[in-house]
Amino acid sequence: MKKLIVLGLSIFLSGFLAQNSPAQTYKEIFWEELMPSDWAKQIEKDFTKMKQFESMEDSDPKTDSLYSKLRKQWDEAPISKKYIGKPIRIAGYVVPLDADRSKTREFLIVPYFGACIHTPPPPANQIILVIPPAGGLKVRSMDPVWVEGILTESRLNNDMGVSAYQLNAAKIAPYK
Amino acid sequence: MRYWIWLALQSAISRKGALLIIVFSTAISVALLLAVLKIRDDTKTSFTNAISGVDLIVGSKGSPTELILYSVFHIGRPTSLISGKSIPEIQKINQVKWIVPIQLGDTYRSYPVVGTNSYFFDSIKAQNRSLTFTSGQAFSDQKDHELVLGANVAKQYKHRIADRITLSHGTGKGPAQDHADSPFVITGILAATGTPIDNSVFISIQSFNNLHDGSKNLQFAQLDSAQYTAFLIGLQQRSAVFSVRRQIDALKSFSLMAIMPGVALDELWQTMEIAENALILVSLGVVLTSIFGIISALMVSLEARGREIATLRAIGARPSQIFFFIIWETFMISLSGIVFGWVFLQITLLGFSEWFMKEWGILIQSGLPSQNDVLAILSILATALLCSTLPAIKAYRLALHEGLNPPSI
Repeated sequence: MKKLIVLGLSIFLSGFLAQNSPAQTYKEIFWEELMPSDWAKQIEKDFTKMKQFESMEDSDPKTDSLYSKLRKQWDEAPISKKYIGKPIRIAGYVVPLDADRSKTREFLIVPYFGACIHTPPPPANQIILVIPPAGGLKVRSMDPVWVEGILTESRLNNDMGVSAYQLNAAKIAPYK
Repeated sequence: MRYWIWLALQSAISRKGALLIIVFSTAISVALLLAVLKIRDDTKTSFTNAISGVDLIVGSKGSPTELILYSVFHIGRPTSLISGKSIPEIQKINQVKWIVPIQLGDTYRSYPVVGTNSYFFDSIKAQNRSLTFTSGQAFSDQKDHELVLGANVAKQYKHRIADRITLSHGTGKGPAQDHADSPFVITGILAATGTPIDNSVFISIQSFNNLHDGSKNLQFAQLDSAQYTAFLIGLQQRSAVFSVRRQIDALKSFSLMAIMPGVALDELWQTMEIAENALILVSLGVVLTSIFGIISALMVSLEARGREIATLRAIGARPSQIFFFIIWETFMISLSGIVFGWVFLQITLLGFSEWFMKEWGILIQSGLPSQNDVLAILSILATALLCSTLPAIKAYRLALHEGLNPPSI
């Protein structure tokens, strides 16, 4: 009987340890790495160009059209394929989607606090849709979290052809 | 041991008047605390189980909280209406997959009537599951006077497929508010979801407009001119939500606001948590006061119970036994207070649960205490026992000093 208990305990413990050191290692990545480099350079150029317009008033129709042009560019920002299909680990702020307050609700993560709620949203390649695992974490608006999982690309089967990031999370943990 | 229980009981019975009042006050304070905990838990679940799969809710510009409360939970006051002319404009936006309009304002015996199209039953999910019919099917968008019932409404009035019912205008209170001239036929009954859908009655947009226009046959082509409470929108890619929201907000000829249900609800929740915590704090204060009430009443009564204690001593009780005698008494008082409080609360809840459901759309269930309730009850008992050491020590001292003889003058 004693032997059985020891065996049971060791199986339990080894399972526990195995969970702590997963076979799959998730590479920690940063948000900048999710922008294609040439696109990022282009954005930088656009911003330096915009400096010339600094004197312009907000109500100026030119500002308006420039802003909406830039906005469109951001909304259609291309994604980088570098990490598609790879296991990654990334930290971000939660933007909840459903009015459901359960552990299974899908949410977006974004790189900066207040993004999309109080401040303009980031470009499309800086937004990740997180599909939580069974028994996920109850998250609230703007909670900082670590998410681990395989990064995938969600492509639309229509002429627009806009791609977006999606992460099928294996683990969601509060950011510490 | 059994003898001690009996003795304590007899002693309590001899002082029943004062003790009953103490038990009663404990019961009320316990009921108050448990009620606050209960309402908090049940509101939370009611708001937890809402519709899902909706990426944006579009309404007229104003407060996001008001819009989500009214359009999803049917709580609060009506928001202003938006024009159906914006529907084609919104459909033009890339990424918009479906758009389901919603009209509110009528009731069926105080359950809200939702005017929508049959697409609602295909696109909206409840707790991540698609809606299903226990019997029948969705109404036909082309036919007038058909309706679908939520699970609770059907259960409450024992309605079945093909029954005819009459809706009322507004809240249905007051004279001549019935749409009695146009009875509806039930075509389907939805399965229970645990969401506000269970308490709703669904009719087609056509029927909704016909009810209000008076004209019997509104042309379907005119539907664009109809007014709506809100649109529910689903997207191709959920991560495009910010872009679509901005494009809807920017539609020049309509004053629209698109809100993200998850964010709006979280904001509402953060506001509510403050009030919630304040309520819990107040009820904890009340419970503490009543525990102190028990203790002080015992302390005072001990002054008059010198002879009782001396008698107990004379028949062979040790001072330590007197100590536990008092602790035991406090335990009994608080326990009976808790039991009475709980029973009292359950009876009240049974009486009010229907009212809560109808007025607030919140399902309050009477039933066994939750984990939190048990924790609260145990801590009340523990606090009472801890505090009862004070009178117990006093009784111990009395037991050592007091004699049977009256004090000599």
